[in-house]
Amino acid sequence: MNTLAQQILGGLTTGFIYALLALGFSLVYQSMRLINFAQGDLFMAGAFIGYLLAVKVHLPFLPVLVLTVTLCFFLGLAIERLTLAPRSRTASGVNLMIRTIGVSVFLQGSTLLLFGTEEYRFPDQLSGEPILFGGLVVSRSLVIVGTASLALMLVLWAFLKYTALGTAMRAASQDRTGAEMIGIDVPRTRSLAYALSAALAGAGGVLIGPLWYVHQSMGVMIGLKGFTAAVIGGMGSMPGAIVGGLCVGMIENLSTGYVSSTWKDAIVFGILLIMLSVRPDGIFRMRSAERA
Amino acid sequence: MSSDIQAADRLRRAVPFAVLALLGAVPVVSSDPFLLRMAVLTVLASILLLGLNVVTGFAGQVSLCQAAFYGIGAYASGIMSVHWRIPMPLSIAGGAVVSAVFAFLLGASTLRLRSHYLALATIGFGEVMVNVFRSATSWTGGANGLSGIPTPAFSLAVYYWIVLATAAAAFWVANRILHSQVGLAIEAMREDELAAESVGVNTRQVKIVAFATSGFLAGLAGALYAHLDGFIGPESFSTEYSILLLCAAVVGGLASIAGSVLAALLLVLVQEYFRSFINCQVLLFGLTVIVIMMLVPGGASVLFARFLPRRRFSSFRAASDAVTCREPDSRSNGHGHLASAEPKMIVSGVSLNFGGVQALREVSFEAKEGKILCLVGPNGAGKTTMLNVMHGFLVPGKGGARIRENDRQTWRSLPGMPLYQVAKLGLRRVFQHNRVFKNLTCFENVLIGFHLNCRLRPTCLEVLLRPSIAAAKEQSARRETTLLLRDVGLWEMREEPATLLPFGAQRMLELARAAAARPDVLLLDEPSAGLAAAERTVLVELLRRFRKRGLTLVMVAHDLDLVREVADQVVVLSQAQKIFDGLSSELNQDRRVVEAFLGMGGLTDARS
Amino acid sequence: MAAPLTGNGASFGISQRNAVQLAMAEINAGGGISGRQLQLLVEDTKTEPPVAVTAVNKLIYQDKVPVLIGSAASLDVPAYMEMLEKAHIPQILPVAVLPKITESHLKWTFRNALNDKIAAAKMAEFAYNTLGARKIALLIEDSAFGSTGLRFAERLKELGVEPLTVERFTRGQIDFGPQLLRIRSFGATHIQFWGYYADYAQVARKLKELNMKVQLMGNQAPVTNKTIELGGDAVEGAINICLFVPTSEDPAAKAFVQKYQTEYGEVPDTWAAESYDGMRILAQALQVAGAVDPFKIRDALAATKDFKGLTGTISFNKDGDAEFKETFVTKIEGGRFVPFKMAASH
Repeated sequence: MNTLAQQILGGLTTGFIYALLALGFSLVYQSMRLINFAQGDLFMAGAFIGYLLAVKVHLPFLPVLVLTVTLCFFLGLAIERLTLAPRSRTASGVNLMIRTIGVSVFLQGSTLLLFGTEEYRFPDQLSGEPILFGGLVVSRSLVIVGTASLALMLVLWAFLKYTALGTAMRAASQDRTGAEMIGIDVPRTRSLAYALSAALAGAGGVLIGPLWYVHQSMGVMIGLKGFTAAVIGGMGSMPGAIVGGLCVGMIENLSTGYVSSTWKDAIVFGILLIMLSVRPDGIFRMRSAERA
Repeated sequence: MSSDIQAADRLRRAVPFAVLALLGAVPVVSSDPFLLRMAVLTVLASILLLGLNVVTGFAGQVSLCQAAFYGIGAYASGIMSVHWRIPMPLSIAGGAVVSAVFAFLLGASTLRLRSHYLALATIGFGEVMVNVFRSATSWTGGANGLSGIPTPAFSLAVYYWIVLATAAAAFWVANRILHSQVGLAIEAMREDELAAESVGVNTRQVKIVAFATSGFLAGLAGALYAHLDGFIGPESFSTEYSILLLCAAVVGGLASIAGSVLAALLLVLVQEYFRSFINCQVLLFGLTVIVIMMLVPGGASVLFARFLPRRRFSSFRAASDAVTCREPDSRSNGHGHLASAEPKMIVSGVSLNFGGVQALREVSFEAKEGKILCLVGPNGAGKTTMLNVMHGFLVPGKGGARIRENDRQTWRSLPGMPLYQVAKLGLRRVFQHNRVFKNLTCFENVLIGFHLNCRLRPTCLEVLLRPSIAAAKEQSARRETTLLLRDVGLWEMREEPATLLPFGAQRMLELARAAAARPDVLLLDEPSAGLAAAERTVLVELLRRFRKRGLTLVMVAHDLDLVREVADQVVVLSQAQKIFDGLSSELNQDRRVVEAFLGMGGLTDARS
Repeated sequence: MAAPLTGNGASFGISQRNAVQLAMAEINAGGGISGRQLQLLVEDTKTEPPVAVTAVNKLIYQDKVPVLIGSAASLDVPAYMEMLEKAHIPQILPVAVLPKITESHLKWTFRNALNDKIAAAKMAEFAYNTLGARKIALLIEDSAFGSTGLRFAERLKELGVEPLTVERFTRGQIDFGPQLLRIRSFGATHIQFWGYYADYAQVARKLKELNMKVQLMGNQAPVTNKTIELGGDAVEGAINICLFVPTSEDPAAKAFVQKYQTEYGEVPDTWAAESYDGMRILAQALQVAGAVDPFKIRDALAATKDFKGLTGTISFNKDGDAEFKETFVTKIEGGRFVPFKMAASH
């Protein structure tokens, strides 16, 4: 029983990171009805930016996190302005989706060019003595990652709920025409949504860096699992993103621990497929998800 | 001039075959095994990409697991050969079939997913498959791959020609079908699923078949590949490769058969001959895709369409000066009094709530055959909702709507019926917000209206096996389309994409499309809204002509002048209830109607 | 030479390329072979078997090389080795350790790397005899590569000890918690790892985080600088089997390390040393063959006997595998690979 709880606990760290990504997916989807294929690669970009800041500029962890999140925000903004906004009215949904695929490939290609396929080590600033909590070993990294993720989500929630800009974003995502009619600059809210989503992904990258290593293909799987988390929890729901993310993290660890690490990906994606056919709205049903 | 267009069209369609023929010359011209290998890989890639183009380019279903189907075909064929010693031709066919079955299942289970979710579902499927390839070691050899797959006893050149012949066959079939009216239906579904269903396209069937086809072609390519090297490994069938395939297809041109071949050339040549630029390749690929999607969504094939423009269904001389008579109408004329006419559609006791708002309350009326019924009422009264119920895709909480079938006297209940079946019952609709097929030409927009008419639209088998019959049907359909376009005054615009038309013209186009099917019932939602005066005249003329032919029309209208001009029967809805049902002449006398429209005490203000 | 210069195997491929180029430059500087200079043509396999097939295809049919230095990536090789048999072109493999390669009765493939199965058996003997370990857990990559580690378990059983558990992981796993926690619950004192360097480093870091006091032992693949770079102080004290230790006192080794470091700016790993030897074995064979004829080159390679290289005294057996008189066990100390002990020869 001890081991079961321990296994579950172990999955929570990556679970929080999936939650950050899931939230990003939700934001963009709510605002633009678009699945951002580049989300995983923005995560990778964040990891590399964090790596450079930590290793070349020798900054401690917290400034690295803050700075990376900011830089990723602007990166996301630039991407949205340059590749998604132009001719978006006449473009079909498929067209926009393929653009994000192009962005994803482009980001992967840039990292390939700049860093090759090597693994890079992120300075280990997260580990330390684990905390013993009622017989369970709670790793320090879990605490830090969990706290940071929750803090970011809280800030986002407060922004969306209490600021004028945040409210404008929510309005625009619910009813584009209506929002435009009352004077909300909808293209701006869309850019903002994408930029925020990129910032979240970047945060995820920095948080996972010390736990793993940074390399060019790290974003692909994580991005997909982040999307799975969003689907499980329900696109557009913040508690859904958290629950979904933690679920995916736990499922991964439990599959590895009790079935076999061989099939863990198949299990996670199998669940994705089942959710999509049976209950695409997710656990916290927020929006009717694309049923014809 | 039109013969030039036709010649250009034929030339364009011949391009993929020309390229394949050129490729076929490779073993004759050079004995370099490496070059031959490149050629084989190119042809295999073109089959793969053709499959992807069918499902994503033509049918509009984004599939990001084409590499997985490639792998299923390869492994199935390999396993059959290695474990069960099945001879090569059978194992290759087997690989293709197994892959098609998987694709069929995937298509069937993702029917209701829209493009983004669908794309991710396909990725999920692809990842599961790669995991299986890598982990089911006793079958697939695991991460080490499956080796020992028998390679052909004859030379590589002969195998290559077999592959080439297979590709040519696939391209021939694709060419015939996708350039026929069947292909038109597929593309219409891509453009606007709802509108396509309304003209009778069974979109569920089309999606599943499109997926199955893409799976079949990918599986075929995979099986051929497995026997080429005798060895396959799971890493060749990753999602990364699926994405690369999609990118290549985009660059070559989605919804272009020639584009598949171009993309294949691009894929193999760039990967091989630009090896030294490997690090830049990926980046440039991504950039190219973005730029193309922003500026030239049609891909590279667009460039080439400049010289050989696509005129798939252009009319030609025979039709343009046709003064041929129309198809005779077998229906009875709807003369006579309203009261004595037979009811064609009956709405009984319909109540419908949207959340807390009651949109309709106990509404009942009858639409008589050969008469025009106008649904009138202030905004928010529930008129469009009523039409949606009558069309079948809104199911009321209480009550229902039924339609009498033409040839028998049976009544069919409409709510909840799939729209293409509703279309088969002879019901057509003109939507309030124009639903034309934006990227299809006006001519094609009307032509699709004949989808359910088996005298004017050939089936798949006819297209492939009885070309003369198919051609005759197509000819007749073109003729009818021409007449319709002239009726609505859009003949000049026939080659323009519908999206370029002004609002009113698009409305007329939709009307022509609906009329093409010679429907028994036509539902129109605010048909005169946004029309210019000249268009309005044409509209009224058409409505009268339809009535003379015995069509039943149910029209939502705000324009009281129009109502006065054409309505036989008026039903007034106000605040979810029916408050009037009778002749338009009686309209002004009714107190409740006047109150509803003009407010209390406005009796004297009414136009008489 | 076909080598993975990008992709997962890049670390090995680049070591291979560097060392081969170094060796070739020396040979050419010394007058070449029979007065003729050697030229190296390199194709990148991207660590992908289909690309490897195409790359080798190009080299033998377009560039018409008479002999191939084969890919460092173990998974690339099975894809094209049959092709070489048919085309009658010999290859030498200085790095690829996959046992299957020499179990396929090939006549044209020669390997001077250490067959991973032999490595597994030797590690078992080392653990049993030298370390006196009895409570050992096995942690292997869930792939054909990793399953070679099962040979370790077999050999251990022959010696009379059962491994406490055999845990599997997938490459690139982020969190090794599940497997390590299970190993801990069995009370293991030693863990034998079989996989690649990135995961090795991850395991080491997780062991440190969980404060598990076990001796980490590994296979050959993690013996690269990347392990130390990624693992940091977590990999201190880890033990691996290999053919070459850069801190060796042997004068030939020191000279090689010196030259490599000057040329490429980093300490050579065991793969570089093996590639260096491989090139020199090839050069000797070319000398003996006397002509640019694949058949003669092949025969000369097969006849290699007691070649004295950095990695030991090498002879090829009838399967094309090199027989080594000695292997080394290395320990990571102070951020470097240092000799632990000479393993007993068999």
